[in-house]
Amino acid sequence: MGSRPLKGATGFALGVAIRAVLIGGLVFGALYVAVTWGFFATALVLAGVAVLVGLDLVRSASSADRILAQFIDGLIAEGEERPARGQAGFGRLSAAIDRALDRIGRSRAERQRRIDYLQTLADTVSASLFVVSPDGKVEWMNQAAHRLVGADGIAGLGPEAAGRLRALPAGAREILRLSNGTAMLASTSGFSVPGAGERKLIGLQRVAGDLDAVELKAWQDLARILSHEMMNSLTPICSLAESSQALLREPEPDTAEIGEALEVIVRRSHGLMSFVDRYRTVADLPPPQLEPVEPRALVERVDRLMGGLARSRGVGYESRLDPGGEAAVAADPELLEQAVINLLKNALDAVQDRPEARLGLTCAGDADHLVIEVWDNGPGLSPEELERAFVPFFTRKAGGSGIGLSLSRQIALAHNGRIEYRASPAGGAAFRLILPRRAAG
Amino acid sequence: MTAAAILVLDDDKDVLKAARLALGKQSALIEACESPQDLEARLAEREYDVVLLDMNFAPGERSGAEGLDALALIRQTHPHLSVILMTTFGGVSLAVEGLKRGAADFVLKPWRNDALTAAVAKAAELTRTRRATQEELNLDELERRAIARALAIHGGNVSKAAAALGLTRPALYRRMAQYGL
Repeated sequence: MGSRPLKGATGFALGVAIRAVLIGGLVFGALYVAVTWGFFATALVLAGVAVLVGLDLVRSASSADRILAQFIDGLIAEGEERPARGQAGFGRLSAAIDRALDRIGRSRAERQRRIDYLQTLADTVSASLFVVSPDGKVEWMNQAAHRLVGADGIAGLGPEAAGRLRALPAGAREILRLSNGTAMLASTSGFSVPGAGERKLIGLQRVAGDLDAVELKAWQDLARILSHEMMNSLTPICSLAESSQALLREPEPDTAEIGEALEVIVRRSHGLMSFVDRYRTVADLPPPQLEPVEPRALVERVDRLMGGLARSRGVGYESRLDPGGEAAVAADPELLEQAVINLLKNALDAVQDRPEARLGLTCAGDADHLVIEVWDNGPGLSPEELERAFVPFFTRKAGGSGIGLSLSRQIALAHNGRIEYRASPAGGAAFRLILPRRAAG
Repeated sequence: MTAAAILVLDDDKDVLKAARLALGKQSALIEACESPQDLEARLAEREYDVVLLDMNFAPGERSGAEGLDALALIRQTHPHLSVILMTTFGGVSLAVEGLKRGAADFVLKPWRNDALTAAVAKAAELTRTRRATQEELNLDELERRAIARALAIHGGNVSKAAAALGLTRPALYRRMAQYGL
């Protein structure tokens, strides 16, 4: 390769020089022959040869132009199309063109590999992805999206879901119910392509399976506890009713015994009724009446109600209002107070009979959230206990209703908030009631 | 049918009362035990014929682990004592596990009084059979030891040993053959 450009360069220049000298010689020869000797026929032949050599010179020079044109075409063309290498006579030019085309080819292949990589990645993702232009046209879909909707694009989801999906603003997250009943989590985000303007990326993710499993598990737990609770109450009721019947059939019924049996039947029946009422408290929580609630006022009220109760049981009580927790929050004051008091009552029961028992309330937060933490230095919760702790009617306390914590959580959810558990720095349990500052929704 | 002594383990006082009334005629005595911790002491106090055991007798306890633990304790310390498990409807698989581990029977809560009394009568009978078999075994063992001792004292002289034991020689020979002495 090394000697070729040099040889090539010499070849083209030499060719041009030889042809030029040849044309000059031929033209001079033709004139000389014609003028000196009057051999016009010979002069005509010589002039004809000179023209042919001239034409060859033009052809040879124009091949440089052709190579350049092919080079440009090679740049424009997709793929590996390029002019043939080693154009005779154009050593440096054709070598430079070869180098340029090599480099372009390599970077083009590299770019293609990256595109293939990203395409494969997008097709491997289980979520369905759509890129939508501002006029609502689907510009690109990944494999999962193709499988979900076929060739119809977003319209393949059914008119209602498609309409809602198109209406989603960038940054939204929403559960969509498709026409076939499956629930999908839709999330959208906006991005801009240089030179092509704004685009929207829509992701659809199948969540139904997980959600259904969680929901089903919650229902099973609840059904088990409800039936256990009811059967336990019905056991003495059924048996004592039968026994009373038997007693009444005797010649001299023992009325005192029957009276006692009836007393239990009445008491347990009422117990069942209040159990169902409690169930309704959790199931039909009234919608919260939002108003600005000052955390300071909440803490003071709770201090009055629970501080005294804790101290009367020999339990240390402390409450703290951090600067981050001072700003007002939109909440239902009564429900919020109830949620906090439920948590504190649980904490109080947890530290019962422990030496140096302590519990407390901390209000903290930031611009977006109010965090009310209720902590104690009791035994804390094991992972299994934690899992059961939020199941309505689950209780470890004799006579406990088992709705305290689940009611608090219902209240948190009704405010678009949540309850989280963590191990308390004090050694026991800590439940955090986290409310968004703007509870609207 | 002789009256049985029954121990009921349940943390619900009303259930204890209901069992007492339902089993009144059948039982010589019904005692209640509300806490698994008291179980061992209660069993040591007197001889019971039947134990009625709630599978979940601690507040909030629904795994049945408490019931199975109590069952294991009874089987270990009083192997002849019949145990009837009480469980709510959801606990049938648990009851089956209990049967595998040596419970005599199980009743579903809420129970029908007839079913409960029948189960208790059968379980009490089972306890008595087991005890009688044990006593027979015990008598045989006592006799074998007495003969062995008598033979040792009299240096293997069968006539003297028979005289000391108040048996005829052929009778002693028969028993020696029976016990392999």
